[in-house]
Amino acid sequence: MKENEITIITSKDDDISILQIIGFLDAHTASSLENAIEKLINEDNFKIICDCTELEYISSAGFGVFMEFIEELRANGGDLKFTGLNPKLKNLFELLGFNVLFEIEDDIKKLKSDFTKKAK
Amino acid sequence: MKNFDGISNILKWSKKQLLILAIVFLSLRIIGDFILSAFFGYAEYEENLIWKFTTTFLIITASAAYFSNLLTHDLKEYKENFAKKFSEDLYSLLLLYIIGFAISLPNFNYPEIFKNASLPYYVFFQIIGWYLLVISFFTINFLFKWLLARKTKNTSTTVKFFKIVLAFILFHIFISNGTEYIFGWKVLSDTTNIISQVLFWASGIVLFFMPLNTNWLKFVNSKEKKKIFWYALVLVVFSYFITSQVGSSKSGIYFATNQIFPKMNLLVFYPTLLFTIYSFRIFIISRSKRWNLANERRDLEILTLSNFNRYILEANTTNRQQLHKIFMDGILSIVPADFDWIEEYTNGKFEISYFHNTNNKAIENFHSIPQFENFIKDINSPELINNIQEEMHLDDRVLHGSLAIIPLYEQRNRIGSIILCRYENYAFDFEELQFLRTFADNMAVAIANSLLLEEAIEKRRYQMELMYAQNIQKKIIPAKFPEIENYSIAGISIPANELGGDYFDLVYLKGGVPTILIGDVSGKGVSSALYLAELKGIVLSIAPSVATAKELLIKLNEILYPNIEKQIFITLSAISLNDNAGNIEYIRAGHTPLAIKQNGTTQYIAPKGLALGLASPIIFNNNLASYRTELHLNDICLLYSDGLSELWNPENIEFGEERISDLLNNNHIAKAQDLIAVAINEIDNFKSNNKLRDDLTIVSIIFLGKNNERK
Repeated sequence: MKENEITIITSKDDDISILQIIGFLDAHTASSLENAIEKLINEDNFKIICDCTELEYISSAGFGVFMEFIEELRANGGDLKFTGLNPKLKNLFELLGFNVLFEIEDDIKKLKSDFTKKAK
Repeated sequence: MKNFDGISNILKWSKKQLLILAIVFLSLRIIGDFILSAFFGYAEYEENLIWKFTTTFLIITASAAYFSNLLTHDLKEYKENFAKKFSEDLYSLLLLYIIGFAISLPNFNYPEIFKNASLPYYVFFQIIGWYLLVISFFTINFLFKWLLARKTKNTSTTVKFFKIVLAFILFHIFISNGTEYIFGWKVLSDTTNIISQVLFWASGIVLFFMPLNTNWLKFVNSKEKKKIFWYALVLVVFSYFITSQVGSSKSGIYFATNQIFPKMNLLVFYPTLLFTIYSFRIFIISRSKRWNLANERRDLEILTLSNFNRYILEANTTNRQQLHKIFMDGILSIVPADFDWIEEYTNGKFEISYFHNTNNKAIENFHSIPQFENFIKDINSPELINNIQEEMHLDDRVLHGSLAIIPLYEQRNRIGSIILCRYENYAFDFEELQFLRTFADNMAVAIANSLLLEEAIEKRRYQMELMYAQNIQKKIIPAKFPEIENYSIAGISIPANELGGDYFDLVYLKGGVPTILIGDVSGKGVSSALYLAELKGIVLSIAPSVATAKELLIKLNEILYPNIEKQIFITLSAISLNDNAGNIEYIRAGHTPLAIKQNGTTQYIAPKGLALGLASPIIFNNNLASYRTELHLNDICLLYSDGLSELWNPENIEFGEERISDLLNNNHIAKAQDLIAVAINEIDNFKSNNKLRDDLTIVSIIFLGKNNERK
């Protein structure tokens, strides 16, 4: 994977959307993720899990994308949750305090069930 | 010369071959005459008619084919360089006429000369007649060329008319007169004589009024104009002389031409008399007010062009619509049209961006004609369609008139066309086309210029703005830290691009507690730099009112959280130097950990803390912890931005915390500034020729005091 490249794969599991973010998430590629999330919101999908298993790098601009949408998602009964973070990324999330703001969980099933629980 | 066109097509010979053929026929004729007179003595000009008819017919046919060939050959060049070629042709004719005049003078008193000429040499006098015929042919050729070069709506009719007149005169000479001499039929020759005279005078009238109709001489400069004036004047005199001589039965050249064939003098008389009328007309025109009007039109064109260029330079050229309006204003002021439109091409489709006196449906109608489509695509400079129906091979009676099409280019790409239409056929003249071509060149230059100019202005403006911003940013980051007892402090910030989003500073909190700050605004470029400036302002305004670094961060988040864009956040770390004895308090809002070397080992401290602007005060405050420690002699605190820890070398390996630890552990440095120098050196070696991915900031704090002494 080259620098400045990103691939985002969107899939659906019930009412939960899973965004697979592959590659580099920085100022140059942030708009791709923005578009992907915007598209989900426009289609009334507010429950999003970001699968970061193949995310190699995230810059501050990348984090900014999550902040841009979180309020809107939560206001509509949804949320943004993260899974598949490698230790380095997890450390980065924690340093910024994103672990306080977002649910981060290695077990994607738990994230899904958390969504369902919340709905009840 | 319809009949001659046919012959030249059959022959398909080159000009040179045709000329040789004519000369061979002429030689045959003269030698024949010579032999005939040697055997049979002096012949009256009405004798030997069959011989004369045959030879003359052959000679005239060959030379007519030659001239017809010459005409098609010259016409293209003549059209393109009309003003210059016109005076050149007049000059050539002038020479021909002067020589004709010179050789006519000695036999002015025909009877004496001819009577004194001994047999059989008198036949050579017909050479003078042949020479006059050559003059006549060149004159006819010139007049046809002039007519065809200025293609107007009347040209084709006029050319047809002149061909008929010429054919009729030839008929009159050869058939009517021939039969009269042979069979004595006077009625036919009298009738054709009257008709040819009427036709001749009609041609004379046409030729007299034709130059009046257009400003066809207006592109001629004053030097050429002067030439034309004098040539025309001299031509009037000499052509009139020849006309009068060849028409008078008492002159030598009258006899010389009729020696060729009876009444052959008419073939010289009519064209030269027409040419006298024409030359007189040109002479008058070259002195008339008409010429001044033409000059005015040219002045208007120049004014239009210069205005146009000025508008282009002043206009905001990214606005295509505005550009087109300027184009149309300029074009229509010189070349008015009954209706016109501009079309633009994108991805093989055309789009109409402007139209006047027409509508989309009519334009689409034009585009449904394949010939029109092809014509428009193929041209690379303005061209005319003089007769839509004829040139597009249309049966459709709805579309008629003429078009002028001006292709539009942006750099080398064809981006569109301007189409001007008039309801009449042949409504655009050659001069208008010339203007459109000049204008089109200017349009292309103007477009290219304005694009370059725009780029240059944009670049310059950007550079200026950047320079201002860089100057401001330099003031945000301190050039030097103030002296603080027992501490050596230094920092550096290297932006990855022109403007950085990193920050460090030293502020004094309430009670004068020196506090070192390092921060990083998320994102890159100008927006980060602006937030940075804002951050610095807020920090400076609230620092004196807060007692601790924790309180400072809480206040900052309170202000920033509701006020900055959602996707922007700021990481910030602060170290308060609580005393001179090494007691420090470290607090972190999302920033990279503190590297601290104590007792020779380096560790990373990252107490809880969210980045500023991410979370509401409740969440932020509940997740903020400070870290206190006591420094000893030569202990080092190294604050840095992620630009350092995430720095990449060409093999895509991160600088990482280990190298930072090594940097601190392997160097025993007592001055913060030296540590920075060592670090930069290390960084340069590591990154090699890789560019910085992110702004890189380092602040080093070295404790130089002896805390034991104080206890």
